[in-house]
Amino acid sequence: MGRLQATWIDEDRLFFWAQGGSVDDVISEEIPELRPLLDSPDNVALVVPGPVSRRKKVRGYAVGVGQVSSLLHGLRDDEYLSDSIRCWSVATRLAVEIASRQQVVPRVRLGHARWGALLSRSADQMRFHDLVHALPLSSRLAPTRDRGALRLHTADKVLRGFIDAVLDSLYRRKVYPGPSRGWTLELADSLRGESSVFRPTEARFHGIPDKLKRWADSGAGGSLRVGMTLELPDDGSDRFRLCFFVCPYDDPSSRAPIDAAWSSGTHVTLGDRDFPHPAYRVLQGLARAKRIFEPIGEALKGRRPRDLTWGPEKVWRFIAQGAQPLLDAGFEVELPESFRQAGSRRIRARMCIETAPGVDLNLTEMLSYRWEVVLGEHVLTGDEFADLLGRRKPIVRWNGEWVLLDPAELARLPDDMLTSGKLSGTAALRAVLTGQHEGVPVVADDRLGMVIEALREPPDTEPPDGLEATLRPYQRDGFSWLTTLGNLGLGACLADDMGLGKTVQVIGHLLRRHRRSPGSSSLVVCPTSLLGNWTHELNRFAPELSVTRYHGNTRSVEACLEGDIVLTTYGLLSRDIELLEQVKWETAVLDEAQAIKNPDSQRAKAASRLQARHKVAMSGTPVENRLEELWSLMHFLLPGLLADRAHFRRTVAIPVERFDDQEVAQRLRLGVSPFMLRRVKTDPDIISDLPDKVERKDFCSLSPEQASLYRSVTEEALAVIQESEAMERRGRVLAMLTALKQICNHPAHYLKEEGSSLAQRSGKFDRTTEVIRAVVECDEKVILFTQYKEMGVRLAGHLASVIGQDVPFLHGGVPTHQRDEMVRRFQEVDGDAQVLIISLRAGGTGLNLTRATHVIHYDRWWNPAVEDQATDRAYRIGQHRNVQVHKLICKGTLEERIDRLLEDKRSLAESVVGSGERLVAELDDAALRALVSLGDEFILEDE
Amino acid sequence: MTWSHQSMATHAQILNAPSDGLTLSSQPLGWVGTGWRSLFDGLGKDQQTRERRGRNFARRGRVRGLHVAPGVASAEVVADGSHHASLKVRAFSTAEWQAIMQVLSADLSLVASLMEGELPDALVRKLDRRQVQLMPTLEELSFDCSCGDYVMPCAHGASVFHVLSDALDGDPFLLLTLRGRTPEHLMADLRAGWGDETAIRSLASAEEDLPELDDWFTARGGVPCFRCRFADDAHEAAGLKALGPAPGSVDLVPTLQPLYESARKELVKFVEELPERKVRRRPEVPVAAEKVPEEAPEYELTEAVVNVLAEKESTVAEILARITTSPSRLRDELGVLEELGLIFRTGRGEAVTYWLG
Repeated sequence: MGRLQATWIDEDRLFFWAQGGSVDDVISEEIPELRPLLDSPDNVALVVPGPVSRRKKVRGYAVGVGQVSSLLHGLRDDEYLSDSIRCWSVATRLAVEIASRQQVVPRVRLGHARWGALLSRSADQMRFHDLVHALPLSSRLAPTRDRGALRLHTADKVLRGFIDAVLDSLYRRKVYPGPSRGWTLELADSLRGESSVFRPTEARFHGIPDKLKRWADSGAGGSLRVGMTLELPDDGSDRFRLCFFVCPYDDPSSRAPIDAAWSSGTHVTLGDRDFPHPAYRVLQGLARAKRIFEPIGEALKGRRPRDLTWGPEKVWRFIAQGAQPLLDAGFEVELPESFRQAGSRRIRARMCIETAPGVDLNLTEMLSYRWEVVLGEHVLTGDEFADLLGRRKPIVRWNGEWVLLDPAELARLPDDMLTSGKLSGTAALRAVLTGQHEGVPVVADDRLGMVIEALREPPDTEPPDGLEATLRPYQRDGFSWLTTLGNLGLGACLADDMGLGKTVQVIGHLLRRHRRSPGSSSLVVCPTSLLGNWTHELNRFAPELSVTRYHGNTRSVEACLEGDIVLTTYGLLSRDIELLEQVKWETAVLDEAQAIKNPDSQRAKAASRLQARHKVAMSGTPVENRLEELWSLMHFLLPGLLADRAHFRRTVAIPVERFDDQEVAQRLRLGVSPFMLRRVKTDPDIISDLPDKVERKDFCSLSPEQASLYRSVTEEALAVIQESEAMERRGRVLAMLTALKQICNHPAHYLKEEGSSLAQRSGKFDRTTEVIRAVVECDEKVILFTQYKEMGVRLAGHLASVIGQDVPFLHGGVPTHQRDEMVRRFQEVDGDAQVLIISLRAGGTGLNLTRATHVIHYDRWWNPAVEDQATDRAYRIGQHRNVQVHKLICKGTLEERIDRLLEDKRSLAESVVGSGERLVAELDDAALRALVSLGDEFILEDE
Repeated sequence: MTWSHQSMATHAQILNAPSDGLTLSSQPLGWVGTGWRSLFDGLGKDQQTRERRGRNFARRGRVRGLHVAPGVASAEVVADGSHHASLKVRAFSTAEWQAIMQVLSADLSLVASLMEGELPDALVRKLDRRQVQLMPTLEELSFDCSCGDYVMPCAHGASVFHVLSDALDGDPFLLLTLRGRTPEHLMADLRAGWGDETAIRSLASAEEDLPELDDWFTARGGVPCFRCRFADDAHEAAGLKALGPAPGSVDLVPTLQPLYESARKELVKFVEELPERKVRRRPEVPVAAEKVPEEAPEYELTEAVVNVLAEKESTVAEILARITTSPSRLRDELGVLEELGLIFRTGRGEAVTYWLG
């Protein structure tokens, strides 16, 4: 527990001191953010507990409550703070909630008027009393003159004082008051100015401060609350009864009728507790109730308070005008079950959404609804309704029962009950999911209900036979889910963890949609460095789909529409949105959709302008954690499902992120969950499906700079090689291979540049940066292997600046103790390194790097045995957790071709002792040329 | 004589009126104020001159610090020097108070008014019928002043009297106070009549048992962890509405509404500028922590280790449900704990951490 204490002194100041140690040190250690808010230290004489309570001058800092309320509010379940500070933090949050509900009133005391809390609601009283009970003694030590005598304030007084001080600091604003008369202007002035002095100058207002004090005090009501129950007549007459009772603030079920309470003398016993001054509290409560709703005053005519008997008109007035203000003011108000909002004897209007029978349900279109008038669950016929309306009274007897006809509710109905209206698909969906639309209850016919059910449990769909892949069970589930949503035209967000194969599921989905609408085109938007990868995967999994790229200086939308799938990048999406939005795409897919997480970005705005019959977003990061990002995604997928941005921020984002409001979070989850599918690697069902190690080849492209270097090196080298003989030839070939490998890594590596900018010059380099950024954001750890120390150094430097962390690079030249330190930083629970770069030649077996969940092979060793050994056994990766291995290969270059060669030879794996290099050195000229010539189609052009 | 009066009058006006002097209303007074004023109709000639001067003092804001206590009203009058004047009223007898009690307890709505410090007309009428006159006669008043004038009421006393006519008009309840009892006193008497003699506790300090030294810094029962929610929708001075109209049936909402509105905007800003929460998950179940013999360092399954396996999706409770044994057993018998190493945790010292493999 922390040592910094905060004690209440004066009207509105907290005194921070340390229990043991110097207060300055303790502040720096526990709450350094406090430092800038403090002025010079004070010495306050407190009696500090010790073996013998002794009065000591304690050194610390006194600071106004208003100045530290923001800081106190933000402290959370941090274990290293004292209970004292944490209680003040909780009290601040309570005060802010009370302030937000405006349960704040002027409190007049000793010639001053200040803002203070009105704790009339039971929830507020209960929480206040929890704090009173818990507040540690150290928080309420009272400064004293008397040596040795311990003085404490009551927790009640201290907490009241604190909360009121917070409220006063929040509510005291320099703003002009509204119209005023008499003393109200002076009151307003003392509530809004520097000085809180309140002393009316007019003699006839002499008594006002006192009366205001009593008026504000009447709201607190001690621990007893007054409540009232409205009862239906049980004797066939039209006399309703309003019966009063008292109950504790935290237990409305332990109640006593006021008559009994009135006669109880000094205490009334409710449940197993005694409550003092019952008659006084009853009277106080009823007097205040009368101020709020005048007819309650009838209860006070006479010697004792009595229950009331009212006819239907007065009862209606009570329900319409009195019940809610009384409830808001903290009274318990109970209406008969059947009269309550959803009661069986209360007329309600509601919307019933209908789907046209026999037609395929498509939620991108409008749905119609009709109005219904219901009494409980009974839908009224036109005649019945007309009969009720004809009585012209709000409370009538009908069919032997008392029925409530709320005029406001009736006003909601359109004049012609038979008309129906139309609602957009997403609005209808939202209405059915939340049960209401603009305050009107909503029901849906069975079909729509079944649709919602289907969303939660999508029926299994057979993947199309053109899909060249076997889907794992969970991938098949994902595919079925995409199909179901696609059929309904509802946007889908596939948010599986990295490595679970989102791409294959989406490709399956695209294939199926194309089989159903041949001739249509779908759009896939992805980061530039993934263009090559998508092409590769589409060709691999769905070869029957033709793929075009909207990319490069000569791009054209019309030309691309010849293809089934059009690939483009986020950059081009933004730039050419005017063209792209003209097309009605079959499906629009956003890969790595966190690219549109900022709703203000060009990309996000462009994305929302795309038109498609189905929209899919793929994201590897857990979107639920950043609600702005969730909003942006949903705005693309299902515009209108979540409220407009400002409203969403206030009603959902802030309560969940800043106040940890679980109820709001839960509602959000319910609303969004049909449209978001996320599986994680650690799910036991999935773990068993996944191999320990998932390997994937990331095909990257060359930048124009790399391409031209590559070409020139190949040309020169091949020309010389042709002329060379045996040993010299072999040497030259190996030199060429090395040069080409370095070019594929990064031009700066090959050119031996120092200190140049590295981004956007190499496909592999940029792709690596993206993968590492994603991994770091998911709080996972990644190891990167490279053969070359120079490359490792450049990677370490660049990545460090991108992710804002140190990136250790372990290579041959690193001394042992430093190597151990690097491993420790990577491997340990609170180690700060999420990325570790290793040069394969550093060798050394037995390094424990089991924390890694990702491995990137930046450049290949071309000897499968060595690679596997290095990555698996030597480094013990994949033994405790699933690992995803990325092998980066530059498409169209020798890397790709050699990789293919080695794949073929892998079947002879164990017997392949020679390395890839040796294989290559033995190729003849023609084969060599074929190996190293550059395939043009995969060069990234400038965008 | 005239000459000296005049010079005295001129002299009096040279001193400045106090900054917090009370002002009189320009509106006509109600029955209480008028009734009170009319008491001075019976003044003699000598008193009348002083009365005129006193009335002037009152009108010019030279009376300050009015204080009304049971049986007496007093104030400071700043005119030719500063003087302290007071006015006493004959207190009601026991019989008269009994009559008042009887009237009050017969009708609770009168008591309700009393609780709010209001004097209802109904009360005055009923008392009238029982020959209990709230309004005193001139004979029932007695004056005193530090100026030492040989005719009472002196000018200062008269000025207090005039200021009182406004105060009483605005708050007729003061009449009862002048007759000897404050509203609190009456309330206490009434409550005694209902069988409740104990005083209503104030928030002032009370005696309490002091706990052990260690507990001085601990929250009893732990720090409360209830949820607080920021209410976004407009609440429009909900607090004011919960109290109902202010004294004098004054609706404070229009006057204070702009202050509430401005506070609301400020509050939204306050909340938006709050530092972001560091969401730190804590194990829901006290995760096993065992003391081992002296030589070995203390160890515990830290939540971070558990989290590694759980990838933030499962809770510790779910994981423990699958394991349901203590760490030592895990380590020894099942062999599924793997030692990670020694780490140092700020504030908690060294610990061996294990890995749930």
